[in-house]
Amino acid sequence: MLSYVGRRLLISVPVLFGILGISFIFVQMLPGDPVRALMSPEELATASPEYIEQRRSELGLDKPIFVQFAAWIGEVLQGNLGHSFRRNTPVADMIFERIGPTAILAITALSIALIIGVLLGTFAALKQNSWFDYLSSVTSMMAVSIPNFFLGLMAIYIFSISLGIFPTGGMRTLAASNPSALDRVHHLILPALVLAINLIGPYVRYTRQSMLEVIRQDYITTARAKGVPWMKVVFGHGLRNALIPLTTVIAIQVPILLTGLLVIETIFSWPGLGRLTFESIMGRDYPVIVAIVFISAVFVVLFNLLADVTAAALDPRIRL
Amino acid sequence: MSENVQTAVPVAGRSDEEGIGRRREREVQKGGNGRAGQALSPSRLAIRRFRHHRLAMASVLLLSLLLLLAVLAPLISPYDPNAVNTAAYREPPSGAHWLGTDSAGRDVLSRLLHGARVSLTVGIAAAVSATGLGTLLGLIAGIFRGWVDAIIMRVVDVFLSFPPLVVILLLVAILGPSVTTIIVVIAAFEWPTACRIVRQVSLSVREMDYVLSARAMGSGSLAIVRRHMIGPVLPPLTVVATLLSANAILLEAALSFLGLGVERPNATWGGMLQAAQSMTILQEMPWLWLPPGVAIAATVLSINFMGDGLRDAFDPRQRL
Repeated sequence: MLSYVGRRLLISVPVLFGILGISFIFVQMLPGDPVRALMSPEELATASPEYIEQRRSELGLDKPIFVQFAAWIGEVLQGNLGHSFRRNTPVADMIFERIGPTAILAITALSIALIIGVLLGTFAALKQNSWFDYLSSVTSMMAVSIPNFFLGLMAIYIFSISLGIFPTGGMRTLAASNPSALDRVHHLILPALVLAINLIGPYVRYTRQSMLEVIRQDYITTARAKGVPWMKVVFGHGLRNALIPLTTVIAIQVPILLTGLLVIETIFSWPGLGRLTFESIMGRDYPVIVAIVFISAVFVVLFNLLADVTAAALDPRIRL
Repeated sequence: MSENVQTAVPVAGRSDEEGIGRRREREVQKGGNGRAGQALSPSRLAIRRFRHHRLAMASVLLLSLLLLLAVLAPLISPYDPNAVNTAAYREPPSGAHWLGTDSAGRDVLSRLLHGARVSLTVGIAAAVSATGLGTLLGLIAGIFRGWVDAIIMRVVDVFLSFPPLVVILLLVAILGPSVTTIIVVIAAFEWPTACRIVRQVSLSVREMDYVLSARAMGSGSLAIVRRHMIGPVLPPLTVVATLLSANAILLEAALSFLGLGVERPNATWGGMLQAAQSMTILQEMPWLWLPPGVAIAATVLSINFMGDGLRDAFDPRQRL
């Protein structure tokens, strides 16, 4: 197990380095002069070209590109992700205050998608080639094909405007000074559901496939022959083993989840990282966007690492 | 059912084979996976299986129709898609404007038809370039193996770590929105999927005895690629290319929806949906956002069904 984790970690190191490299290329591509961006307008009006040059060498921007890259990596490792153009605050702080709402939305959506996806996939496998199987595969295909922003707009149109069941956006009722937990859940349901729908498709597909393989194993036959109730066999013996490959599928889906967060948070005015990304793009606040791109990529790598290690812990065959 | 009768006419023209052909056809329909079809070439069997995938065939029809409409858009559009007409402000659907007019008095139907051109161009061009780049790198990795393979695969991992929409938004924001930029940027972050498939197939084909014998007889790497690898790589590659084009269309629509798509005032489906971010339009003018939303969903769904049909046709075991 340890040697598997070691090997897996070793593969991640060059990938993380590659992510650093590409993110640094993004930083270099950014329009605008970072020296001038750091100066206040009054300072800029009186600054002589010599002064600007002096600031440039103070910041190390006249050094060779590889030295700058090394210096940049040093900064990033210390948690310094640059300064926002629009608000004169460190990007890291801006991101940190938005992580909470995003995590709540993402975890809720992921849980909903997993529960529905696994149930649909399991029953589709048990009733292979039935109308239910057919319907669930067509439905999950539709779920991945309808663009999430269209789905979000339709959800608002139907559930918020026409039926008036759910609020159109935000995380809580703004008028209430101390919103109740129920109010927060009420605001969470619609965006989480829309986000979940985009994720369900692959879960159904892989659960079904994996379940079809597991259900034909000898130990399933043995359990049935022993007289274990069928549903207990399916969920106790079958699903337990069928779900192991799903950990990897969840990890592969994380970039899609992050993309979905950007769109759904924008539509539902959810004050998370996705909304921050959209606001930064509209305001051309490039350092913030680069930092978010960088952090998302690192998160994806770490999550994949975690998923692979989990799968290996659950299924010794993977470690080979 | 009449559709089945038509397609049941054997593709092979020889009359003495016709009877056998019919029987095989029925077996294919019953899910016999063409086991009886030893006399037919695999590609012919695949075409047959594809033709019996009803959803896939319907999707091909719909996509052909869409392609035709897109090509003919300048000829059949009732109005100039960008002609501003302040007299026709947000008019509901009528005889003169079948799908109404938008906030600038532009004809929604004409914009919808022209939007199809952008979506299909981006979908096809991005998928072709991503598949091309992925195939090239995948073949290189598969042939040279060793450290070349290791480097290419780590690069694939790096690119797959970035959440697609976020990184594409950043690049389009820096480089400026245009159809070409969007195509290039989407292709730049979508090629890894194709690369992985091609590498996998070429690695396994490499070990085949017939490739070994070709090598023993002195065939060079290029000749082996041309004669032995393109064939097996092609089927899975077609499926991947299909799915990539669906992805590209979704990404372009999301970009336009978020306001960073093709230059204004060009009509795009995502851009048309952007209007629905205003509550008044969402609530009272469904003709402005429902048609483009349905158009994106139907197009992407059709492409996905087509991809599904292709996958089943090439590899019937996948469905189990």
